[in-house]
Amino acid sequence: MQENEKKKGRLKLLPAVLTVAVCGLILLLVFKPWERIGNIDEMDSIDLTSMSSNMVYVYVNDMVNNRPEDYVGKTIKAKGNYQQSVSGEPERARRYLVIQDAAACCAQGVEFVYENEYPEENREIELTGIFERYEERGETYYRLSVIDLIVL
Amino acid sequence: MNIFEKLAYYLQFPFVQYALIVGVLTALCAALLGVPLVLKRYSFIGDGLSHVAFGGMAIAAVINLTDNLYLIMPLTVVVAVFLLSRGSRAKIKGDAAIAMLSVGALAFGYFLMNTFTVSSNIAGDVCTSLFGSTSILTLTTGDIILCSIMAVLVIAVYIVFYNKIFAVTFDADFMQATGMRSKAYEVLIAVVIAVVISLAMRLVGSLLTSALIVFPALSAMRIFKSFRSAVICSAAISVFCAVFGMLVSILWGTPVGATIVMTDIAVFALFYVGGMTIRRRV
Repeated sequence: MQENEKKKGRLKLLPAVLTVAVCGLILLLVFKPWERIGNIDEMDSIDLTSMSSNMVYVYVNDMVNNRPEDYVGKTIKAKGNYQQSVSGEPERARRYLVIQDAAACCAQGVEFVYENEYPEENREIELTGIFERYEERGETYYRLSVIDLIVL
Repeated sequence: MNIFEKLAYYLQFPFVQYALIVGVLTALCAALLGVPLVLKRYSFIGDGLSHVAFGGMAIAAVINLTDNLYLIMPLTVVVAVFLLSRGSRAKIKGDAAIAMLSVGALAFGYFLMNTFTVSSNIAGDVCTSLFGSTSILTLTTGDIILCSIMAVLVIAVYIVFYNKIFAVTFDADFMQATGMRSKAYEVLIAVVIAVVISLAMRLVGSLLTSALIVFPALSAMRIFKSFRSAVICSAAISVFCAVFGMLVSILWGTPVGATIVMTDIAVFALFYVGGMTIRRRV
């Protein structure tokens, strides 16, 4: 009877121990604590086109809403939907690269300027630009100064 | 880049690190509360309170409150205390009261958001609030600090009052008869549940919050029969599912909340089969 109880106890622990062991192994393989990983904030250029839709949306949200000053001067490559709107006083056209998250229920836009001809509205575009700060009527805004624009 | 290289790259982003920290703390808190709630047959209260939290979020959005947690948390606490401390003398019993408040708050919140439009993307805001698609990855510094403090407080309260929570879970009447204030501890559990629900909304959204509370507890109870073992196992399962779900959603662009719950369901199925196998062998 006691042997059965002990066996029962050991069997019950087995799934928990296995789960912890597998998690620990995955964490070790991911974090590789014996290697030094660089700080993302020290990178001068970020390629968002190779990231998943969630990461792109969150990155752009962080860039535009949370910590825009930390991204000034960085070269950003991203793709999304081209939108334009007329706003401000005096009114002027503003151009946006709009990025949606995985569920396509949330969208984040980042303003950009381009020296050459702008594409048709609602086209999918890929652009490479430098994130910059600019002032307008005493307010600080942020946008991408586009070096290269490709219509997809 | 292989998957691990990609993951190591993503883990350099501060918002991913913050999401993992807050996600782990939230999942841990939810799991600790899960076992007492399931045992007291209060599983549905998580669902009801999360809908009330959605209503609170809608009010916060309409009045342009910068951080909606300052309204959601107190509102959810008040409703939780009202629901859980009414006792058997209430005219409208527990499950009916939860159902009324749940659907009423959901309808009220959606009505407010549509009538007093403050956003250009109502559908997106509602979708994010209900299903938590990327809200855990878009936390501000203030959100992180507040969530972390509240989560640590919940864990501390649970550890300090563990024996009392155990007693009120299994026999509140006996606890009252022996002179201990079971009502006070039921109110304490209600407050803690409300805080956990408010935090969990950011991770999985209103509609999926009860899954975060219920599934780890049910999985653990398939294998473990003692309260302490079930709580520890539930916490481990919840943290694993939250981390795994977040990492999968980051890598493959799936909605965060739904991925975490799908992982919870898969682990539950695994533990259910495991439990049946163990019972047959011994």
